[in-house]
Amino acid sequence: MNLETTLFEIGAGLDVPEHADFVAPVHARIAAAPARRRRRWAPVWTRRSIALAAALVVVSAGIAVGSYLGVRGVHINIGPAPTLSPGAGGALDLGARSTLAGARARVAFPIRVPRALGAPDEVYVDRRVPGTQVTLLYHPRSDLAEARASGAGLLLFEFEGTFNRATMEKFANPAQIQSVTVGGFPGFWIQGVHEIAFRNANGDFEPETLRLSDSALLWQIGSVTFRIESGLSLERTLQIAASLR
Amino acid sequence: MEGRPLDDAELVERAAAGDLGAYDEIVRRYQGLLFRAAYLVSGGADEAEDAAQEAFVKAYRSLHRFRRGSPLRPWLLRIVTNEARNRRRSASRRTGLALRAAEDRRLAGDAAPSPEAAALEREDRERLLAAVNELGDGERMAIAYRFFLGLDEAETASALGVARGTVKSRVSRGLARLRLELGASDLAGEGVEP
Repeated sequence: MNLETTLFEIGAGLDVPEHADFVAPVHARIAAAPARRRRRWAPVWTRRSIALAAALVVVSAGIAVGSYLGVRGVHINIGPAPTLSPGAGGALDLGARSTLAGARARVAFPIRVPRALGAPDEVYVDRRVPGTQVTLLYHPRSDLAEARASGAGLLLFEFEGTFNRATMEKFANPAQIQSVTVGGFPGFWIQGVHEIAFRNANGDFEPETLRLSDSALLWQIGSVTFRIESGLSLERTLQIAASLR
Repeated sequence: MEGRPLDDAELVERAAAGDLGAYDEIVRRYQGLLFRAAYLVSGGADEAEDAAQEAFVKAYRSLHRFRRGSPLRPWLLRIVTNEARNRRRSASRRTGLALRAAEDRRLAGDAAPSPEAAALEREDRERLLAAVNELGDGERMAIAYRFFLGLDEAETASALGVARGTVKSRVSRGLARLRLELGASDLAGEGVEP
């Protein structure tokens, strides 16, 4: 007798209890409290305000195949946004709109800007991320094609946080995640559109925080982690990363 | 009147636009699967009902972030798996998986086994299931999702939130352990089927 075939047969014969019909109770709950995007954050962040860890889940086209890359402090925002209109960062839920000077006054770490791209089109400050995250958003332009997931030309995230190398090495899918050096600092390149989500303090996957990310370069300088998300090649992204000042 | 049942993508589209009736249909379509998954994870019927309902509510509230065109089933499974994990019974309170009392799975045309053979077969299966219950959590869940839920490797990986390679190695380690546990039994053989 074949073990696997027998397991399938056991599955068909399992004693699974009857369950109530969920249609009416789920309908009632949804109708009583319809989804509101902004409020959704409050309980998540207050409940899990300590030691938030993030996991990047790499997905191949069509099917979500998980491959975790643990990085503490990675911000989760909401996408995808099909087109970028002025102030598109609002639709991506990147936090409060600010300016470079305003952001610099609000975080403890130095905010760097890539010389290769010049001043960002939009700047956001997100205090929901432990340590506060700053996002520089560049609109699509001749040298920055519109990225599939975000609709932006390029997003540069800067926040205080460290890589969790042990988790990354345990879960990373070598085919999609590549170790790189960014201006002498170790980093990682994740090729292609993938999902990003938080793990909570217990290490549990937090599906509500799922969102799509374009190809991303992730590296750390001192206590600050940088993450560039765009539709650009690794080579071009590395050039931009090396031009941070 | 609809001429045909709507597919998942159409239902998602309508539900995301506020059509609660469309979401009712999604719940109707997937409630059995989500409850079963939640039961496998949590080990209790009450916990599974709670997890499945919560998963449907959370999924609805996250619909605007569901990637259009991607499959709905693994996404829902991932949400319910997480909900069920959060409600998992402690090991001492967990109900081990068991076979239905009156098992009637034989396909028409199969030769009916003698009562003795049937009893022996059932005994073997109960022993195998007990061995599955005893597996470590990672291997047990990978085996349960692959064989008891009938998910493929990619769906199992997605639902459990691990890499596909991790599912492959957990299933293979789990099967090896089951073969070891059942060393003396016929079930331990590799089998002759292709």
